[in-house]
Amino acid sequence: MITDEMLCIAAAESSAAYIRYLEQDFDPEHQHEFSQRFEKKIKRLCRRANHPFLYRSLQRVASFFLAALIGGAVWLSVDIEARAAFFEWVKELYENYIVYKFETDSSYNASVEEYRPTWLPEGYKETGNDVFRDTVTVLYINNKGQGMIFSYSNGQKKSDWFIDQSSTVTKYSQVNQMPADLYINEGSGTANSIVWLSADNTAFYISAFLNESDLIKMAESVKCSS
Amino acid sequence: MLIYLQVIETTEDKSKFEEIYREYRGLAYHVAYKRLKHVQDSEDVVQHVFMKVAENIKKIEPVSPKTKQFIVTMVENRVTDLFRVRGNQPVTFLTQEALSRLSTQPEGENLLVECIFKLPEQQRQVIWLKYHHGYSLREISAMLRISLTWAQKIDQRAKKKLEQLYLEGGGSL
Repeated sequence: MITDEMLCIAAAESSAAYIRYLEQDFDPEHQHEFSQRFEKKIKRLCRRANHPFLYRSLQRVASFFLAALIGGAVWLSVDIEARAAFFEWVKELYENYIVYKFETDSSYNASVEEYRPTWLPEGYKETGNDVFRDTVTVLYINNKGQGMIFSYSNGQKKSDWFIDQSSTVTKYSQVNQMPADLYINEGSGTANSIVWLSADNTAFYISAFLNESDLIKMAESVKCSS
Repeated sequence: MLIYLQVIETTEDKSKFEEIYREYRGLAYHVAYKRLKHVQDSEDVVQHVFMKVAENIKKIEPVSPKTKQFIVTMVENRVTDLFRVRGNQPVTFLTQEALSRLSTQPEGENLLVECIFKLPEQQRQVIWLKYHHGYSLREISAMLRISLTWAQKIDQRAKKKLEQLYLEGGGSL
């Protein structure tokens, strides 16, 4: 019988020999010049490799959506009040989660501003950001390795946000006189969140290990940075 | 809540990906173009492969011969996929002539090495990814975009075929 050890040695040797064979007519000094389209894609990929946590978070949102669809989650209602308050945002309530849907019409002139909170809890620094569909997501990490996410969407394209509301208490509050939804966790292992809409119809989301008043303080500090 | 925020990436991962990309993108393109003879398709293959590198960046070694071999294996797999999707017979590097040239290299003294070169491409790739790069069959199935069951079958068939080739070549077990 061929043992795993024999296979490991032979696999390494054959792989090395094969690469040498392929490299025989490869000249590193005269490499292919990649197209701009390619370079753009690679830049995006670099961001992805640089911030695997951020991408895992985004993938998690997508997976959660799929799981909800497949699982045939019970749709409870559309929050009419939220619809009124959130202009073109519709908040749909399901058993265990909430979906914020932004359905803009073609005449809607979306904002192209960039935003950042001007107040951050002590020790947090921005470590990455990315655009996924129409949502800009910024990741902050403190020296203890705890993360915090700040997202916003100006609704240039249709976007959906999903918030898991199992084990959370929903509270209604205000951010700069605009209505806001707070999702406070009952356990200490998961983050609290806040969702609100600014006067110029930009939707914001913060998820962090912060108490209610710090979440609102951070939300109220958000300013246009561009 | 939506996110659980205790995971943190290291700064080493940042430069690791960029270094690997800079070092091997030329070779990756060269290998892809050699078989595809099409600039756009070859660039798409390179992009796909570096996407796989980004996905597995934690497990991949920094710039090293092993990483180079991993990238070339992934390029080959993607090229063969493209041929299959388009209903074309994959063009392979391992012609009879190539096999004889490989056999004359020092490593060719090892009978088992020669046997690996005689395996069908996908079986060879699974052997390399599993026994040289140390990936599990589950990870390999995700990389090669095949089912886990199929990856297990390929692994079994490859080992069976290797035994047969080894005995035929005069090896003793």
